[in-house]
Amino acid sequence: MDTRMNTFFVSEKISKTRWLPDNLQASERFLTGSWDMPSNFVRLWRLQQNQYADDYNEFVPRCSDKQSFNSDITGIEFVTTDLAVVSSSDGRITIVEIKRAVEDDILQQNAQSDVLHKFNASGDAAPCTAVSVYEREIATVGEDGRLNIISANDVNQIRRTLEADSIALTAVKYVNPNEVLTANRMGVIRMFDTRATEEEVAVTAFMTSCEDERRPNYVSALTSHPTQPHIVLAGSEEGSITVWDLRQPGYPASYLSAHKSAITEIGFHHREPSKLFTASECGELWLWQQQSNMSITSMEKPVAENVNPWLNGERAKNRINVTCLISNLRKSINTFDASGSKLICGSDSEAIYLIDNIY
Amino acid sequence: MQEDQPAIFAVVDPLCSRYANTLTGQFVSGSKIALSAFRPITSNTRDAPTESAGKDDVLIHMLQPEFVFDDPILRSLVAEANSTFVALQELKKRGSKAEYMKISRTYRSIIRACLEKLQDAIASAEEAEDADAQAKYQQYISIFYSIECVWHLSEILFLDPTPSNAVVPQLLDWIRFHFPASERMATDLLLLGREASDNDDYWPALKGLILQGQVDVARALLHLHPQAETPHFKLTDQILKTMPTYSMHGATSIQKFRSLWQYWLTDTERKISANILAIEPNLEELIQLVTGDTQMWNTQIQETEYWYEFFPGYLFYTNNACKHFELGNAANTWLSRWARLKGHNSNELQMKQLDRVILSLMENDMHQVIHAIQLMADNQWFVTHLTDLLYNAGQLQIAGENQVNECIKLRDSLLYDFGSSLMTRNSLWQLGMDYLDHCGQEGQAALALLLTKIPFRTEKQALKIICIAQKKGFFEAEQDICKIQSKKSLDEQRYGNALEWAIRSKDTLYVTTIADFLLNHYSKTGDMLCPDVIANIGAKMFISPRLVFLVKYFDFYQFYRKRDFLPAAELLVNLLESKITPEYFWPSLLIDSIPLLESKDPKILSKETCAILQHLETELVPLIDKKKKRLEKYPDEPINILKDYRIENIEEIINLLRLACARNLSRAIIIENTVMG
Amino acid sequence: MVSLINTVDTGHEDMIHNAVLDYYGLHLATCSSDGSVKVFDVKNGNQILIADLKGHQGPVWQVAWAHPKFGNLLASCSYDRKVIVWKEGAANEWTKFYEYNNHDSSVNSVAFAPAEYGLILACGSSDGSISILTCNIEYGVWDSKKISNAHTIGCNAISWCSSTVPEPAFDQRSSTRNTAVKRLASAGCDNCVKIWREDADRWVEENRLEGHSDWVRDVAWAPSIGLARSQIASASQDRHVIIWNSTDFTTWSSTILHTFDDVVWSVSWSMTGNILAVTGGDNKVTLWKENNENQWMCINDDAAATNAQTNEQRTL
Repeated sequence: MDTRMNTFFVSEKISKTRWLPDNLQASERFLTGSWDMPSNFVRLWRLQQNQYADDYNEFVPRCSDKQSFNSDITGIEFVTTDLAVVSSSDGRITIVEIKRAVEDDILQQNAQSDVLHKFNASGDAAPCTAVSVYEREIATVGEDGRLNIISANDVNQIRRTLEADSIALTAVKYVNPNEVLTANRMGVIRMFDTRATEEEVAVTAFMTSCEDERRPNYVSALTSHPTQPHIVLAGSEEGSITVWDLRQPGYPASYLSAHKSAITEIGFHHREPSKLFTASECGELWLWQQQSNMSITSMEKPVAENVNPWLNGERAKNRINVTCLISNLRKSINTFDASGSKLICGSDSEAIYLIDNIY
Repeated sequence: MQEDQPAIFAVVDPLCSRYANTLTGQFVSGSKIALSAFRPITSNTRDAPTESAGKDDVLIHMLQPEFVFDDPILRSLVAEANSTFVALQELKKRGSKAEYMKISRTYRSIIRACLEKLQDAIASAEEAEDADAQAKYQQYISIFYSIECVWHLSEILFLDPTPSNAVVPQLLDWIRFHFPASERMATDLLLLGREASDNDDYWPALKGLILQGQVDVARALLHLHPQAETPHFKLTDQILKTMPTYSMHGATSIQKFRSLWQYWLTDTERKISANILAIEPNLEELIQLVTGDTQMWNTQIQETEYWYEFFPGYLFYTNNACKHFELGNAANTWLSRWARLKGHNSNELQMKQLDRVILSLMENDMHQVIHAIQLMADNQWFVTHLTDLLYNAGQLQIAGENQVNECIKLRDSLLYDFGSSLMTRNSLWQLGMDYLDHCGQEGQAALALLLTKIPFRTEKQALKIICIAQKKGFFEAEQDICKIQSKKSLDEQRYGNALEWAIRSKDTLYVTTIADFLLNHYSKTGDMLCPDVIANIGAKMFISPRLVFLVKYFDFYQFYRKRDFLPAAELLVNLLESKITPEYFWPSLLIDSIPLLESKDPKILSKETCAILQHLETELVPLIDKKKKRLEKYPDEPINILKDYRIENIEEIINLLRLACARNLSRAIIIENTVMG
Repeated sequence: MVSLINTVDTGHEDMIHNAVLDYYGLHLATCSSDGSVKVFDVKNGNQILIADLKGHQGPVWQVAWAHPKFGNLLASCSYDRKVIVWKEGAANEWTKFYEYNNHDSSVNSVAFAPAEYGLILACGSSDGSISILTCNIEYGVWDSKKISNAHTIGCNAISWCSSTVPEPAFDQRSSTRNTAVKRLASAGCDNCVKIWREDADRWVEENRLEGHSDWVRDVAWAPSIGLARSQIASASQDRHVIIWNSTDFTTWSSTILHTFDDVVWSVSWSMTGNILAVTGGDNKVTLWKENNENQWMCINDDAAATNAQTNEQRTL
């Protein structure tokens, strides 16, 4: 593998980054969101060919436009190819629209919600900690323990509010149009059916595994398999990954120890589900790849025993290769997004990293 | 850099000067100072409004040291240099010369990239007609330009010594870098080829090159001249070509080099005095410079703005083998000459800060260098990083009795100040940490303190700080943050959240306090707060016996609610058996057993029933007696001892329990004997 | 070098005597001769008044914030001989949490002990005594101890020794927490600075630092950052600031920082203890820093380069 990494210092701590969805193979535009800055921004970037041919960097990102926010950006997800929802620590979500142009693309704010998350006793806004999107439905979770379901068409109309937890929620993920997973600071993941009535919201709850059960271990990242959404992976505070098969959620299907610190983001490649990436608080970025011969067999002969390697328990480790793409950065890699041959990631080192050739 | 001046800061506040008032200032947070009008309290201060009451606004002025790194361009310089700084520390003072050179060049390229960005910023400010921004960026450019210049010279003198200790070739590189005009002209001219000599810049460029000792480029330019093949040009080329140079690697001995040079010089001077080149004055001028002709150089000196501009070139032609230790003398001689020719009296020569730093560097006076660069308006970025680099490379040379110790102290205190100043500026704390992490025990302690002072706004940030504290082993810092979070959650009536933070704090007492609160609330209201959290505590409950009790009691409560009486009864008996029941909860716990005991089909076996009875008689009854006695002794104490159970009720309950136990015992014994029989 | 970041209009009707920021620097508390205590939210350079606390019947001299792990608590002391501890409830509502009435004269100074010791407040009064108030957090009950006749004529200021001073006897690398021994310094009208140590359940005079020739108006124990030494600054009407140093709490050496042109009213340390701010009757605030040769330098008189040499800029 010949991966190349380019570093660009951007003068802000990056909390989220997402490629713009592109129907063509490779996207050249992406969004970043910042946190813990005197003023925070969502920025729209575009990769440009480097004019200095002898330079090491083939592409250079250039900021086309930005929108300012008065609190930390906690999540960015796309609703359509031009609309994205941004969650922030003032308890709101904002819809931004990207207008592509030949020269300078434009980023504009289309709508902003009221405070969706707040603490009951004081009425103060609670940070919205994560957001997930399914078609035009948006799910948000916050430190107030609430799960909100909102339509992207009207962000001020909350379709559903569920008092999901009495402690802060850290992650949210749609697994199908009607079922949403939430995760909390104790390591508990719950599944909610958004159609059910208040009384009969059947909650399935399961707990992330932890090396030492006496240690706190919050769920720091959550994702599901792009083509087999019943496979759910959670990254945790201790740096491990727990995998469940939602068809049998009673016990974890696999438990893999990985990083030495909290996993900040976990996610599959947009088009190649055989590739999974994890980033960590101590500045690592790993690629987890199903061994190629295995994936070929599974495609040719979808027999029962040939289950997805992530569900393979102890044997999963033998069927998945781990490659370290970034190590020893020391500052947290908070976010990444992989699309086509390129991966972009953002860090507390106030830089964005572009990795090409992730094969 | 500016000349030394006291920084006086004036604040307009009429109240300060009214009557006998003065001013007071105090550190309030980090490096902030609050100024306000002040009047001392004395023994005759009376409780009456002052003469100024209600007349002036009562103001507080918040002051803070200026901070350049709020600007995005300079901020990225700090961020980028930070990773180089850490790479340097990772060499642990055992790196090779090449490694330190690489680090030094990385730092310099970061500065140069920053300067380029600043140039762009000026251009856009010009476009936007923003004069303030333009002035600001212009100022930054001059600061960081000076820094690069001094850094480069330090690199040459301290990090990249040649085997022969000769400095001239590197000084030429340095000056070429900082006065690139001639070289740029030459590059353009070389592209013109044969037409180069028609250009107005041709001779000035050639002279500039010679003044900077760039003989080879000068010769290439000469070759482009149409008359290059004429005897005069050929002779000039010949002179330049045969000029001996002292090898940096010391291949020739210095004596041999000197005699070679002397021979070449005598020969060249003879040619000039023979007026061989008189017909081509441009060429003659070049050769006169090369021979170090006093008159010729004096004329050139008068053209310069900076004392050091032609100094390396002059050294090249007059003291080519000059060694580092001779540089100070040479520089001073040259400076006096420069000052005299520029019409300055050398005693009162007004030198700019940069000029002086360069002289001090050449004089190898590090004390003076460090003192001077501390005054740059870069919030100590440069002095910290340069001192640290020289220290790590073993090249920080400060005179003094206890040299090694002094160097460590100096470098550590610079890191300490720089690190603290970044950490007390919101949002730069992650970069500041690394400096405190590498300056000894004091740095560690400051880091532990400042980590807890970061005003985090979200739990995510709190968890990030905790993660760092854990890695550094700052247990108290971690515990403090968890407790603050727990207290905040309690105030917000978010009990589950408070409990989880308390568990994270690993403070048994703190966890016990919250568990007590939840149990008390339950025994008062019958309402269990945050059941979802209690249900998932699992093995983490072992931090506090009280929490174990809460979790176990909650399990019992769950079984009971699900009417799962057998395991409920078993758990209850276990709880009674255990030694962890808090005193105030005994009545609650025993009352809970009444329905189980009164069940028509016994849920509790005879053995366990006896156990309950025993606990009733040996734990609760003595407890009640004790409280009663205390009540007799101190009749004024509130009657609801045991929290919410009044003493009369308690006795009633005890009797009910005794009765229930007896009934259940009889039922149980009958069934047990029947089944067994 | 220094710039004005903002000016807070306190809206007090008379002079203020003290202004302090809380633990994170997000709230500013002020107290005034008008008898009130105010709390401002000072995030992002704006100021918003969030509380106007009325409970004293005289000028309020000093305010102090408690560590946030005890919640948002603020103590104030006044000419009316009272010490009040205020508490912020859930909905930003401030109430009186505790009132202490056991001084016979004006209370000049209040200071919370390092949080590791628990919620403890020391108060110094013109009646010459010092009170140490300890709160049992679980029950919200306060207990008080008094050092009677600590300074004849009166006690002007109080400052706690930070809990992180490593015990000299122990391994210094492990930064042993010296939580067992509580110490505080007081400044008085008897021209003395005194060090008090808690011994079992009493407070005893451990040291008497004599060096000033007039009333000592302020005393400030430097935040000890990882060093096995203690440093105290004292300001006096004799126009001196004295820096006291000790490594064992038994012998204290003194250095006169400077002789000022007028009386010196106050001394305060920066958060990491590397800079000392001094104010006096000369209407000036000076900043002092100890260099590596252990000499004290006034840094705001030395030099500051703010306007760099714009004329020295060249093309690159």
